[in-house]
Amino acid sequence: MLVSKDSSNGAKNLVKLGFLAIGITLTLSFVSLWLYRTSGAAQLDLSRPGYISDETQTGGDDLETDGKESFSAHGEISNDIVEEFEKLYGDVEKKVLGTEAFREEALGDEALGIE
Amino acid sequence: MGRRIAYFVVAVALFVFADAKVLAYSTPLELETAISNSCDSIKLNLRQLQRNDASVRVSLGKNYEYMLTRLMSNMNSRLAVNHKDAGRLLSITADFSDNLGYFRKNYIIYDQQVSKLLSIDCTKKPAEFYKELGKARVERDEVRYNYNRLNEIMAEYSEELLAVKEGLR
Repeated sequence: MLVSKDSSNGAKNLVKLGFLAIGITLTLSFVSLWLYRTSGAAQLDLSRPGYISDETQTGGDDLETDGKESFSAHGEISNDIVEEFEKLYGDVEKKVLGTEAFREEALGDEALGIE
Repeated sequence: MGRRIAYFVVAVALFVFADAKVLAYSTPLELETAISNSCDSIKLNLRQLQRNDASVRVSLGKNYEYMLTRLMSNMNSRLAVNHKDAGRLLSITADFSDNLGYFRKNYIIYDQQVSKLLSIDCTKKPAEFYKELGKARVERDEVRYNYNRLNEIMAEYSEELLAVKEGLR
């Protein structure tokens, strides 16, 4: 059975389109991965392998926006309002200061086990 | 005579500082052996530290962001809307925002350095591993500096707010 020239060209075009689609997909995937690594998103992604258990540690202990009190930018201002603000502010400050983050000794020889 | 003395002083200085530089960057054989022998456990500890740091970074980031956008900025706006003198609150808030940016940027650099460190085979290249570890420590110091600075600014805001509160009476 002879294949017509038109259907042969159509088949070739379809193959080319397939390769083009794959090429575009691969390019965009590489670009996305590059952006993920360089933008800082990778450092914040706790869903990476090995990090999932840490995510549960941070989940319940943060003053995130959802459901938590936020201080409104509108409305009157008075000493009572400022005191209300100070309470919210103090709660966050306490959490942050209690973290004792990035201590020097954590990357010391002893901590790493270089003996 | 004066020129000879000057040449002598320069020569001595070069000798001393060159030697010091060699000492600063040379890794004693004992240390290299220790690193080679404990490479697996060192990397395990390092990975654990990287994970812990990531958790802390996310937690701090959320709290700092909340502090900046939901508390400081909103208080400043509310004072402005009520035509009250905000004193130095605006400049302190701007300072906080700038330093939060530095914190984020420096953490990325630090984390990338730790990842680079983890990619080195410390059984075969202990000297290189230790050198890169030194760089990671410097980057971590930067992040700690930013963290401490942010906490100082938070305290400044709190103090300034007391002054603003006095003005409301």
